[in-house]
Amino acid sequence: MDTRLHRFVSGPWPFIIPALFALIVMRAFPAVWQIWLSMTDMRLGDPGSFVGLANFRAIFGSSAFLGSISYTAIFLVFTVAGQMALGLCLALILEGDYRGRDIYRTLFLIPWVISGLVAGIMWQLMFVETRTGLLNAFIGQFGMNPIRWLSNPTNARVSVIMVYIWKGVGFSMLLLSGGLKTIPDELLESADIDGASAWRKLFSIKIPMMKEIVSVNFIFATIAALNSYETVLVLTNGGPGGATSLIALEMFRTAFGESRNQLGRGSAIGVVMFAVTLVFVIIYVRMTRFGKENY
Amino acid sequence: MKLSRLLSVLILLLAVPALVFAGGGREETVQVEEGQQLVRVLVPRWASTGDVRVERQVAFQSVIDSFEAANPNIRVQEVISSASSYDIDVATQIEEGTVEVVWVNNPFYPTLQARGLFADLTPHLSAEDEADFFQWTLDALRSVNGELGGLWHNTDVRLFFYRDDLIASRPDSIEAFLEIARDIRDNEDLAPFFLSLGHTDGFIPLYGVFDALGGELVDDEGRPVALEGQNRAYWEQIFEAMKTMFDEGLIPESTAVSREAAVVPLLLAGEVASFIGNSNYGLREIEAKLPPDEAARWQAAPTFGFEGTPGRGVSGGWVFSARNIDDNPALQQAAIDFVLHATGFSAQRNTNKAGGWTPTRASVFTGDRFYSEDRFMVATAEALENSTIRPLVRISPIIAQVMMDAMSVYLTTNQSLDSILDGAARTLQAEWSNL
Repeated sequence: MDTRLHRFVSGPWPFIIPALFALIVMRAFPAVWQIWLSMTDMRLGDPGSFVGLANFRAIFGSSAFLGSISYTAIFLVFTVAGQMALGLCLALILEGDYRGRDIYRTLFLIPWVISGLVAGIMWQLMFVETRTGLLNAFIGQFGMNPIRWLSNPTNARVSVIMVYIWKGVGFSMLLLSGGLKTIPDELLESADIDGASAWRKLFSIKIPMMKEIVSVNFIFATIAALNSYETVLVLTNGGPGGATSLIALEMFRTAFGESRNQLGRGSAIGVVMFAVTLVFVIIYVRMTRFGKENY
Repeated sequence: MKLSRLLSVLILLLAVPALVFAGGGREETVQVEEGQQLVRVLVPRWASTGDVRVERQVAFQSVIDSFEAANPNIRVQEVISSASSYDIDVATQIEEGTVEVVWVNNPFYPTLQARGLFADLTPHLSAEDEADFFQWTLDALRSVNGELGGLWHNTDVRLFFYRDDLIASRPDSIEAFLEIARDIRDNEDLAPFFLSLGHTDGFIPLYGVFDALGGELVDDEGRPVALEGQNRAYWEQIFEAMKTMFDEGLIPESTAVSREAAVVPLLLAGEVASFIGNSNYGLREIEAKLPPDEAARWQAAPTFGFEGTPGRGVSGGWVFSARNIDDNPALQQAAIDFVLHATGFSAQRNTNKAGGWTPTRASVFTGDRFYSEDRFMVATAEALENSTIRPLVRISPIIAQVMMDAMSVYLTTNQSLDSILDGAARTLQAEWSNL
């Protein structure tokens, strides 16, 4: 075999090229293309023309978009905090060695695995606001009046956050369970001998020891929440009155919803989302030192 | 060479063509003999022989078979698209010339027709056909640039569905209905009425009320005037009527966020006395899902407007269009012939029945027993006689979204109607200037 060919085949490139090719085609090209689109007035079926920053001026002048930024911020804080807190609780509960532990773990993972649209349809049926809606029928057993889960703006905001916590908690549980397993048994046994309480062990040993995993969970949960739209699309479509409109949903509605087909404007929203996500990605990359050992 | 390295190289060699040739729709292989024309027809899966429902498979296959039997020099190939990306498929395949005929949803038609992508069917339509299609379908299609860029295959119209044990007959006006609804609220344990009010689904019937009042969404240049002058007064009247229903408990509060389909759980649970919905709800929901004795209580009628204005049905639907093919007259003629065939009497009768849709030819309603006798179809035909369609201009979907967002805010917050409509008017003008 030719020496150069042999060197190529026996080197790293046969492994790198497929991944590099896929990254360029699937990631880099669409990202660059999206930035270009955001500076055009392209619509589906109409190539449009270059409009500079007009789309960005339009979205930052739109009350719907600004409203979606404010709810997205609230949504991110409560969804990520809720998913991580509940995920940690579940990970701690499932830490013990008892019968059926794996079955429970699988059950808690199911919401994370199912499609966002299916989750939305399922919760929409549970949130039916008459007395026969599943949740209202349940609370009715305790003599409570039906609740306006989705038609009251405040309740709708809370309901959407609840659903997303339910959906993402399995992922946090999985990551944090892995983190708990990395804590050396000797440390916990020493703490037991010293008479440390369960709380003390949690806050002084377990959480500090899995700081890296907690941070990764935070970053991943934030990015996932920022890009969420399918479930809320089905649940409320951003309503009532824009109360539950997320940035990603606003992008979808502009680019594809209701035959609007404003691809250029939708791409501009996507570029803004990309910039915000990039901040979290950079934090993640720096934190993990791009694959190098951190300690 | 190690096996793993050999495999890596092979994967690389296979991945490149696989990625390059990865495509969307499924194409049936059709054998074309010399001298035959091949007409490729782009359709969504749910309106094709690839649908899981046997009745649709049979109906769509019969359209192709009968066309090929009548035109031995033409073969037809279905290009079946995934419905989730259908508009994208239509745009790209028309642009690239990879199909000759498309089935297109009417709100997307003006964008393509304004660019001259479709063949003008006017010279090919007989006087008999011209008279048979509902006039509004032809008018709407010609409204973009004067040419007939397609033929309407199926439509729908919003109907007022009501239980005849609670509502004796269709009310004449919204004012009359309010009295009936209040009586139901006070004496029955169910919601008197359901109408989607926080979603663009709800804009369709409300546009019917607006149109009947004399309102106009856009001027002759396509500029939105929906919230100017008298038009704004009409919308104020409509918004206030809906707010009255909402505040008085005549309509469930969930309507502030619901799509039209959200009525189905209430319908099945027996928790609603009346609703406005798509004309196919009679067949798809009431007849199909309720026990026969309960289904028999439900009637349908054309929608109604305010006192003194009769109300107006608003339609939608899908259109068959032939791509403009300048360099191949024989293929152009074959594509046009297929469009005429697929929207003809027999094709419309069979495919619409299989799909649960509504035909666009008056002759199907009179010439087919099902369409002339089924009580829901009789009501549909009555509503279609006086129906209209939202203007086929690009700002239409945006107007619908802005108005229904405004409605949802008005129903669920304490903001004044004036400030909400002022905001909506500003948004519409900004959108118009950006188009």
